Amino acid sequence: MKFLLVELKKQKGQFSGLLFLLVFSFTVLWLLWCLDDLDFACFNDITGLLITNLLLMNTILVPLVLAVFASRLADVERLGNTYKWLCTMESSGCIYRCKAIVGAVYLIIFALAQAVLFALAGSYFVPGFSIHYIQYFVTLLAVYEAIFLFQLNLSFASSSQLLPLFVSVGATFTGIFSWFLNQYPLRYLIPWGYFAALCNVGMYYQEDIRYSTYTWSPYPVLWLVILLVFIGIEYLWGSRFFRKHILDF
Amino acid sequence: MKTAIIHTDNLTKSYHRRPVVDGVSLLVEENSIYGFLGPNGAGKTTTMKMLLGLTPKDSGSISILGHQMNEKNRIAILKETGSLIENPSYYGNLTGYENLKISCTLKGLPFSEIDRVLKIVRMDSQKNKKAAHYSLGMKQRLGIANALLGSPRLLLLDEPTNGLDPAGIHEMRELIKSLPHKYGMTVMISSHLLSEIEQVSDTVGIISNGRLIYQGLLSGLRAKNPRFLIIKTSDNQKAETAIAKSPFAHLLPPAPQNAGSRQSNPSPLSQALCLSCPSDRETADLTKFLVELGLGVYRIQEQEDSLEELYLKMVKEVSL
Repeated sequence: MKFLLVELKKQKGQFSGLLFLLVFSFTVLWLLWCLDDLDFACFNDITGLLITNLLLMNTILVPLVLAVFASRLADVERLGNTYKWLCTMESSGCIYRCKAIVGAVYLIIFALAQAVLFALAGSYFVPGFSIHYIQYFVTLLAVYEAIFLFQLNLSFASSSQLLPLFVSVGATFTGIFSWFLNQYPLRYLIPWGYFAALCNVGMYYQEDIRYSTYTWSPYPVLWLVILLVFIGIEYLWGSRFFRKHILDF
Repeated sequence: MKTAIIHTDNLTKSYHRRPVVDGVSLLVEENSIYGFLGPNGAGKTTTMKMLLGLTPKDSGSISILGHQMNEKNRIAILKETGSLIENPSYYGNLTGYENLKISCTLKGLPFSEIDRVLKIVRMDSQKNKKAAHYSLGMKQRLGIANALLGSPRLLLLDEPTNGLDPAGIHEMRELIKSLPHKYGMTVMISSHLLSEIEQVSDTVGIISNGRLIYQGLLSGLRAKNPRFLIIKTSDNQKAETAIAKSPFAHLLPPAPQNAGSRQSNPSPLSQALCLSCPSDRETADLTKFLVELGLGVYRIQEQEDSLEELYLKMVKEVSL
């Protein structure tokens, strides 16, 4: 527990919470703008529309934020030359574990806030609880975690933090393409594509009558499991790499 | 006999098949200040990192505070150890006080320790300033304060005076000197400057090219230092020839060592005879012998290599 506390203390002045808050606020404003001039007669299911819009917003905004967040977690040690200090008081495996857990705490709060936003907006139009709210939370958390660990490992492995940031910019575009390139398996091959891969809503747009029909399909559990396995591999690889190379950083 | 606080046996480490620490067997006794001396790249930092388990050793054994160190007990042993390796470590986004709080939390020490160590390194007035805004000297002091937290039994300091101004170096030296008797600590301090080590340590270990070439008391190192008798006469050539044929011939060193060879202090003895240092009686007899030859004896002086020269000679011999 004390190791986690220390990791949280190191976050002071890093404004990581503010970073997530800004993105969340931007998402809220974007959603309000979307709903503001919406013609409700043009589609059949507001919940379907909300979840696709929110997931698309996440695809656009979140990769860069997670890259910055992961980069700060890693870089605070590199800048202060602190590994040789910390490693006399805690094991290197513990340092990596704590960073991953602290990251997960932020991601849980962020994903929860987004799920609450979806639930509030959804229940405003369709009163009552929906399982889609929970599915949305699970989707966000799993994809966030996969992207975060990837960026964290990349930040630890790179001497310059520009590389992880450039990767995340490229990944954002690839993630957006994955939404629109249905005919290719791109969305299943990269973690940024899983916002689309785990979206269980389909949309059919009838141009002649300008009507969108949203249809729900069963939640893609298999792809979620594959993503969770990927997260596990990322964690194990990252932890091993970190233990082996920590003092080379 | 004092207890060995650090004891290594045949410690070896290679990078890319090149040995950087080669069979080093250190012995640091309790309550001593052990100076670990060597030129840049000699293997001092690597050795110290191995002592802390920060760099895995290839072979050999390390015993710290009486415990054979391995990966399992390393952290527990190091709880009684303070260290400052290379540049100081700090979180720039935190204040000096908050940085030390991190160590206190991880080591399970009360926060009251922070004010105590800050006072020792005279940083108490700067404790609420962000570490990123500290000067290099202040960061170094923060590093020392960090190492002193909890009054560890063993302190490993790798070139701790780096970045300090002359006044800071003096202050740091006095602090280090006071640690064994004031707090019962054992200090191992590394440096590439003999003059620095000479002023704080009683025992030294000299490492060059990864090999420990001397370990023992500084006085022992001084004893290894050969002395010479420099004699300047009115006719050095004649004096040398006469000595060579006299009972004092054994005092003449081999040819290259002779007259004019001692360039380290060329004036006024650059044109003088250089003899192995005789006893007082022999010196008197030799002087009488030269005077009786009708030679003017202008100057008789005993000379020895400075410790610095001896150290450089030892290091050079290993490098060759």
